[in-house]
Amino acid sequence: MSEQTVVKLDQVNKWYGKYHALRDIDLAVAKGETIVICGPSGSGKSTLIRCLNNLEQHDEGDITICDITISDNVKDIEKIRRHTGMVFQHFNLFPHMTVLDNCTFGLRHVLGMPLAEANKIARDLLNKVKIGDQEQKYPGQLSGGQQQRVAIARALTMSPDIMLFDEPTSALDPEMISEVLEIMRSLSKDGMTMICVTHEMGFAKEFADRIVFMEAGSVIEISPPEEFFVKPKTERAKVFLDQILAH
Amino acid sequence: MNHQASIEKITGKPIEARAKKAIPFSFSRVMVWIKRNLFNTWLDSVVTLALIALLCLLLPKALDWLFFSATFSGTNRADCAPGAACWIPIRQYMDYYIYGPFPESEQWRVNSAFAVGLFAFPLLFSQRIPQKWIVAYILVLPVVLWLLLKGGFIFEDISTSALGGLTLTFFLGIIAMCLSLPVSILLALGRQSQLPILRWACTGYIEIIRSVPVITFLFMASLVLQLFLPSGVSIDVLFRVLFVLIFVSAVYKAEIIRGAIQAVPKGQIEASYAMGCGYWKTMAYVVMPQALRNSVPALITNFIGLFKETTLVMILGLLEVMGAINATFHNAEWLGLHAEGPIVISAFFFIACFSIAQYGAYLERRIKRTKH
Ligand SMILES: Nc1ncnc2c1ncn2[C@@H]1O[C@H](COP(=O)(O)OP(=O)(O)O)[C@@H](O)[C@H]1O
Ligand SMILES: [Mg+2]
Repeated sequence: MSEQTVVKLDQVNKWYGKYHALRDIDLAVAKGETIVICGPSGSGKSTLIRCLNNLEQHDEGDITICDITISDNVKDIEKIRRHTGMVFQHFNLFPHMTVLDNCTFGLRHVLGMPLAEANKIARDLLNKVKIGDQEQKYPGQLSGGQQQRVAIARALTMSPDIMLFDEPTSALDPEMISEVLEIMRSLSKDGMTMICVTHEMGFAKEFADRIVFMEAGSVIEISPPEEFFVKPKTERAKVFLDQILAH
Repeated sequence: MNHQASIEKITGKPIEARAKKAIPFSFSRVMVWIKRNLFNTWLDSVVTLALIALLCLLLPKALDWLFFSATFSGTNRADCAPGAACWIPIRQYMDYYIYGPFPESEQWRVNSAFAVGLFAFPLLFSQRIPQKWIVAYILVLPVVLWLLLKGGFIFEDISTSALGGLTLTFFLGIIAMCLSLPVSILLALGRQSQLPILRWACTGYIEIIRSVPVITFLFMASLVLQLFLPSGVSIDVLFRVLFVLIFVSAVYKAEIIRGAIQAVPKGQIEASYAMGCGYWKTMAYVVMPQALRNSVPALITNFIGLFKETTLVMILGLLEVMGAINATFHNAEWLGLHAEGPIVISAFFFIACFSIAQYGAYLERRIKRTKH
């Protein structure tokens, strides 16, 4: 594993019962890369990204994150999860905690950091996602876009090496998508390693280093955006692009 | 839409002191209400009239028996008016009903215990008390009650036979409620555990206990337990009773809490795991606070049941409030007064349980309003 590779998948397979959800996935992601995963609904994008931090268990092959290979070892898995931050489609903020407490959760309960120090880190990040003035509100009092920005800040508090995004803008009203994408853009510019499942092709064109196209559990194509959008290698990718760009 | 309502719409957050718009009272409105609700169809009218007739027949008799012809003052049986209630013994024994045979010089301890227990209401009523405080209160309350009512540490020991009446009811109900809560949380988690043995054990325990009447376990605690203990060793009956109440009522609570845990969205657990949080911390900080908050109304209903079940300890010779009241009416001096005892007992339990139920309903409304 080269020094630069932070995510490596080697012949990964997964089944849900008899259903073959991931088929022979090979993928290596270098530090600082932004990867966009796209493909039709049900093609296994969420399954793939959730296998990276072991929210789903793969059945065959190896997944290595920051030199730790996923195994049954709980300590290793918790280490991997500290190296990765995840942002979900439905935000999954903790509704019984204030915005600030949501963001200090990991620092305090996983890293055991004292409250004052944790608050400082959390406030810095909340300011970075431009939501610092709302820190005493509860998630239910915020708009979807604001909630997703808090969720990004919450993931960043743990200073992850890799950020995983699973359709972060799909549950948002159109006018809120841009505020979330803006934050993802600045993260990408700052050199964060990012793996994003998204249908925001504008973001993909501009910021992705490579685009991974999936269908029926397989990775069909991995190309830089210049190639992928201009002349996709497969007919399926072409059909998919036609459909999605028609909107 | 007024300003407050629009804020609420936007933020989804309740405004606590929402002023209800007062509807001016008017005679015609009342008439409309009566017509609409009581005499809408001919069947409605028949039911309404029949019930009114029944009330007219029974209510005067009942009131007369209970109050108008009843005897309130006097000193002995001879003062009781025939054909109506006689409340003299109730007044005479009131202290006994409340304190039981508790030594008189120590009764301030009972009063303090009631005060500490009733503190729960303001604590749970106020909006945003830190969770830690509530947990601490629930765990410390049984210890404080035990020290005050049973003794130990700096307090003089009170023998079990000196505990009775309302004091004992209160003692058993609150301690069993507080201590069965942690047990039930463990049972609920155990029932969903990944470890098959633990899961089977918890499921088996829950299913067996809730399929057997509580009174059976109380009998067992009094008789069967003795068979397993070495001769000469005996466990204070108070411990035995509490043990049964705690471990039986925990089963019902466990089922309530299990349902509430399952209702917490999976995404909440995933978000916590994704940050590297382990199972126990995720349960303690993410799942349980949400699950418990949502199960408070059901737990209060459970508490009402438990509170009434404490009367069963009578079969072990403990005189809680019902036993105490019954005992005075079995006293030779007051023999022949049959109805008064049960009426007083009913009134007491009604007042206690109805208040708790109203409180539960209030919490339920509040939880509904704060749902995002
Ligand atoms: N927990 C599960 N149990 C069974 N099948 C699942 C589960 N999760 C996902 N699947 C199936 O796996 C396939 C891939 O799902 P997913 O990764 O969510 O697709 P995508 O995110 O690309 O839309 C789908 O056909 C879905 O029905
Ligand atoms: Mg998906």
